[in-house]
Amino acid sequence: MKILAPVNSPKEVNCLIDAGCDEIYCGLITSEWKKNYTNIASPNRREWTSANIAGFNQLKEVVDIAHSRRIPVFLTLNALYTEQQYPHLFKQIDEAIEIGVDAFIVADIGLLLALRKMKINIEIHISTGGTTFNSETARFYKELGGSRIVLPRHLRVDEIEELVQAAEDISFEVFILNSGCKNIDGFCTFHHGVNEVLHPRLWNMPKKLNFDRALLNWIRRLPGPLAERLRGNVFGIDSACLLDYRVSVYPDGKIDKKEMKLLKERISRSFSLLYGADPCGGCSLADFRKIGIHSVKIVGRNYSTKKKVLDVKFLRSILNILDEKELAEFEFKRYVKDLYKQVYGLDCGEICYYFE
Amino acid sequence: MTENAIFICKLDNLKKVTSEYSRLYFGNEFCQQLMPEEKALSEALDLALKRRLDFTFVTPFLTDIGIRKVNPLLNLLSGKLPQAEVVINDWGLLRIIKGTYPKFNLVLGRLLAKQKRGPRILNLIKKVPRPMVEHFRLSSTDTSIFTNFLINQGIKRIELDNLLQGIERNSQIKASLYYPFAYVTTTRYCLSNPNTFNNGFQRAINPCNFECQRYTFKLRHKSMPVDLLLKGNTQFFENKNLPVDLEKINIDRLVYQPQIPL
Repeated sequence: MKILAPVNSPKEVNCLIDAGCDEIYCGLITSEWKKNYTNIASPNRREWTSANIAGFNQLKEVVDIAHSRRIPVFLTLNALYTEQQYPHLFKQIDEAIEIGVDAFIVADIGLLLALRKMKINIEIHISTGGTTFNSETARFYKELGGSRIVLPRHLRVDEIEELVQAAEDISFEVFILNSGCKNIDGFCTFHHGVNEVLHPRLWNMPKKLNFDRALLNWIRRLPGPLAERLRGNVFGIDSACLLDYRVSVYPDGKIDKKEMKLLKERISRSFSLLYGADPCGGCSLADFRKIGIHSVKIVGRNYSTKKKVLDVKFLRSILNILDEKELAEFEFKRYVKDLYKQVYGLDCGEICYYFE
Repeated sequence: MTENAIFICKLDNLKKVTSEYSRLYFGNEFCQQLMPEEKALSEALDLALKRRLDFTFVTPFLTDIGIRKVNPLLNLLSGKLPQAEVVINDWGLLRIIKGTYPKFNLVLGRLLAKQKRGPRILNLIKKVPRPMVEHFRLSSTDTSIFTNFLINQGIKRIELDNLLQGIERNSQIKASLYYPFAYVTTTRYCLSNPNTFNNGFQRAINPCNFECQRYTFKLRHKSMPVDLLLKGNTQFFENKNLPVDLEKINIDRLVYQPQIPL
């Protein structure tokens, strides 16, 4: 099983490889693209400038360094495109091919078809935006040229197992650390990165300094009930799913007052900043290995290099222990939780990617 | 001439089907748990046939379990109305229907029509370049390569939401426009299901008791130009202002939702 790590600068490639990653992915927004579409209509699904490589020179550096160490590089082109964007898009694709990227990560069927028509000699990975919830959809994408599928977050481990076993001749990737989106990525139509345009002075530096991630991790150190009460827009966080909404409830028929109150409170709390904290799927790695998952993906191209290196080391240690020892399930989970505390300096809090 | 359809999810609401509608939509787009039972589908279909209404069966995105659940419904539909119209929100289901029920008339559902619906676009419209605004009025399905693919797959229609920023289209495929409720996002961590959080704040995909049928929630925030309506696992907004010239954007059907379709 491979570890796929995110990159937003050539400077971090070597240390991520030293930490133990097997594959690298990145995205880029050119200044030409931003001029017409801003970061909000980014050509990939990390709609913040800080999450992206600055240009093709840097992409070439990333690819050259990675390839010198036999590590493949995947370029995310997993947004949805309209015809007017195609000339810009294909210019980028041509340049990326020239540079030597090893795969494109794609969600848009139109782009998928266009790449197939171009008969490019590069792998096509189907993004989580492709919403592959069942084995028939996996077959659909295979027929369109996909060689790997990134599964949606919103699948249980048993559902992943059934899907992977039923679909043949295609490899699968799952998310394993960070950014556990509350909504289904491929069906979510909220805008991200809006504050980069609306409040650039208050946004750009905090985002670049990972203020939002630092805050969300700090919140995890608080007692649960207190952490759940922390809400509000803060610098660097503008996701629609973390806004501090005022919730009101309208019954549609027979009312159970207790149930209604409970649901209203739960929904209100679910928009607290705690729910933006980064989840971990470390305890599911043993299962994913048995199932035959090809790669586990670390999310967070905009995170600090330090965080990314810790993430890779954490996963590499778990995979190493799985290679070396046969552990009972509870022993393995104990090991993972202890390792989490050792690596990150805090309890995992059971903020799980794949909670059963 | 614009066709008028009505979208009903529950049998109780069949009484809302008045003579101004020539087509009945029945089913669910967002949750495989809410797919109708065979009996309910049969009843809805019988009403449509009795009243000489055209019929559209609406299907959601599906896990492998959901695929197994939808097959008997498609069987029943095929038996009673072999050339029924079916809205698909799952590429895998497209594959199954083409192989097993080739006579169905296929429609691309809202989840696959890929419009950008986030209401905060209204805060941005005057502050961003014109190409970006145009981009967000379109759908990725409008590209010629995607349109040709849909036609080759036998998909004759696309379902669209009534965007707050307006709609632009230059596609040869006909479209339906849903109103007044436009979906924005959906999840399998259903907020209306108390079992989603049955371990404190840890969320999980768990069975439910259809609590979504009893409550709708309104979400209000100062940075969101319109209220969001949360029902079940999906968030919507309401937009009653229809585009002025439907014909210009190749929309020939209006799909009225008397209630949020969950």
